[in-house]
Amino acid sequence: MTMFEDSYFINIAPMPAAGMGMCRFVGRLDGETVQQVDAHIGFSHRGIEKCMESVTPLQGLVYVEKLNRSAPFSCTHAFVLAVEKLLGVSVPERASHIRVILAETGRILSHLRATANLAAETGTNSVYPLTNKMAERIYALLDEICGADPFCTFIRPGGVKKDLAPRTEEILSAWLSKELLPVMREIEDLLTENRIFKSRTVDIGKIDAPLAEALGFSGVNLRACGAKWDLRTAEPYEVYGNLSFEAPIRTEGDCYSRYLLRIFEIYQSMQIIREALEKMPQGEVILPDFEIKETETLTLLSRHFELYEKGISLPAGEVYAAVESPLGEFGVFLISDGSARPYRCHFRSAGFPVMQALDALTAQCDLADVRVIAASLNLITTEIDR
Amino acid sequence: MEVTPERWQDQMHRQGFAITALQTFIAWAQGCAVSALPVSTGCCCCFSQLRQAGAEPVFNPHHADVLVVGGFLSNKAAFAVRRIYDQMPCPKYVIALGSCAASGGLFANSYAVADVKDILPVDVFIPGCPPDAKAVSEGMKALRRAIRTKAREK
Amino acid sequence: MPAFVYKTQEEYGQFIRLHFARQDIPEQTIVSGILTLKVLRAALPRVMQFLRDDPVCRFTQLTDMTCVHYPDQQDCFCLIYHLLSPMLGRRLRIKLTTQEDVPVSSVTAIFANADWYEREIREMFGVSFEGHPDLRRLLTYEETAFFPLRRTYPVQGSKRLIYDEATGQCVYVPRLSEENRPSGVKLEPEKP
Repeated sequence: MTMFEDSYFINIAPMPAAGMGMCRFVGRLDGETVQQVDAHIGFSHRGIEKCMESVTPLQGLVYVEKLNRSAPFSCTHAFVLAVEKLLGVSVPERASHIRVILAETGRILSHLRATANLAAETGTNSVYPLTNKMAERIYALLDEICGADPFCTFIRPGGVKKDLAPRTEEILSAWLSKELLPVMREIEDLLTENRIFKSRTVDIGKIDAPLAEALGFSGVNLRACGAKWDLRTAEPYEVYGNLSFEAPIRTEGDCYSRYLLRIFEIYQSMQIIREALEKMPQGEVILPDFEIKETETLTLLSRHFELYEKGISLPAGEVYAAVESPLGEFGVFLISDGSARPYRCHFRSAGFPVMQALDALTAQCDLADVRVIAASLNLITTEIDR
Repeated sequence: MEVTPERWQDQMHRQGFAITALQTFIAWAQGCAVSALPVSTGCCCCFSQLRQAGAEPVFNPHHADVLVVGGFLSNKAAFAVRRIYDQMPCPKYVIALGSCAASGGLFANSYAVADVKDILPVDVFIPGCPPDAKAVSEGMKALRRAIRTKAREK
Repeated sequence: MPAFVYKTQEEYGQFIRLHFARQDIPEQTIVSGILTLKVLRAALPRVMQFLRDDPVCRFTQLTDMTCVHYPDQQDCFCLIYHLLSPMLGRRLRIKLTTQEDVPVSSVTAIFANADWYEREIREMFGVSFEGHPDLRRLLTYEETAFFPLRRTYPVQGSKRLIYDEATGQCVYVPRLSEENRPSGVKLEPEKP
């Protein structure tokens, strides 16, 4: 890197945007204008891909869900889909619906956090208490319906850990209409027509669809520039094909449109949860071969121990499975050599290409806007660094 | 009977005097309200309970009494965190918050993760993944005890 | 809309192979629903350029790129590129093999986001890329070369980081043996 006469370097570290995790940006500035941003990542690198090679898929779930604290269900969901694709099994209908409900709850949580971070970066700190309170409520709710907080390996190969609690439908619909909806209204009142918020986000961090596609964008960040690409409708997995919804798009491609899309998607997720609850059939929630439970008959008990100790043995092969996580396409590339442990497990994190495109997005913008742009892209370093 | 400072202090206390060393007083004052510098390396949201437990997060090492390492410490971050610790004014204390920071947790076997104990002199370990509010407040109490004992040792 | 509609993935693969010499793309398979093409190392930039620009292909996005280490084989590294065509809703997997000393030509000129992927592979596996603008380490911080994602590298790593009181710096020391580690759960990768 050459040092120009009238440009200088500035360190934006170690926590550039709130809620993002540890990361360091080295910006080259000319006055107040950003010329280049060099993102240094890896402060949250834990070597999860290597760790996955030494554990069985069931143990590996614990690692996978630590990738993204805002939406742990999406990460486990992709991994479990990859394992199931390799095994060639399809899960019971009810389990599939439960997974959709959990994934959408995770999407609501993640989008709320992203909105609060963006608001905080533009100076509206009053959104934090609202979303933090709602996040606590969501954790409590998950505790109520599936028995633990998000880090609970609830989604498992072959289905889900156990059935939802009785009265889940009432609890969830009451939460959606009586608690989440007023909070959403309040957030919208605070931000959507807020002049300061709009002046900080409209026309900031603009990107057009062909460039975003070429840079590897996905999810909200891609749909905000007008590309209609949503894995839930383009390559339907689980029961998304049976649910009636359409991925919303915006055409501006700036920070404000990303915010608007997130808000819209929260409302949409609420509808998807309602519809999935309505259509959810009765029945099994996990395939019998994958269920870990203590029983009285000896054969079943031995099966239980075998599953518990050795795990599911994967057939040799390779597979790529992706889900539409709140951050974008989260993919798992799994190679098995026929033993109980994966030969190689690679995660396609949604934020990785977005983080490296930050340089292109912040070109010629003001120094103060770097944090706003980073917050609007919803980058989570634990997911990027793996 | 030998007269030790503690015994003397105890006697005076019984007679209605409150006598204390200046160091102990400072330690007590620090123990009541500490400024914590959170280093959010981890994946869990361990910091939401910190404020309730009587620690005010500050984001400048020069204003901090306590460094809170929340979550695992990767090798790359360890260099930065040690530098932050060196910038803090004495007396300074370290809390390892969460299983990953306390014992390595899930990532104890990973090539990329350093042991917090090897990098920083940790005073209090708070286990839990993520630790609940009670564990955090217990940890803060333990920190106050640690501050008092450390001050007395000086 | 494309001029030709190919019904099956095989036909589609055959169409792509028509544009190149037989040895450039020696093999095509369908693995878990995704068409997989094995590409010769020398032909990679040409194939990638064609796949991106051809109106029937339009693989405009490099979704993912990774590497696998097979220590027993002669060409021990297998690079895997996942391409996506959002317009046509198709995915494609490109595979090529290489050795430690043989550089692969970089695709950063064709797909801009290959930059960090290639940096990561260089760092984790030691595969070198020709024509890459900047091959610094991305995720780890270390002076000496080590390639953690190779199968031959131990999970725990060969070194550990400690703070040296004497010099006032963090330094790497060789890892203690398994018995001496205070809280070590032995987790060796399973021998196939």
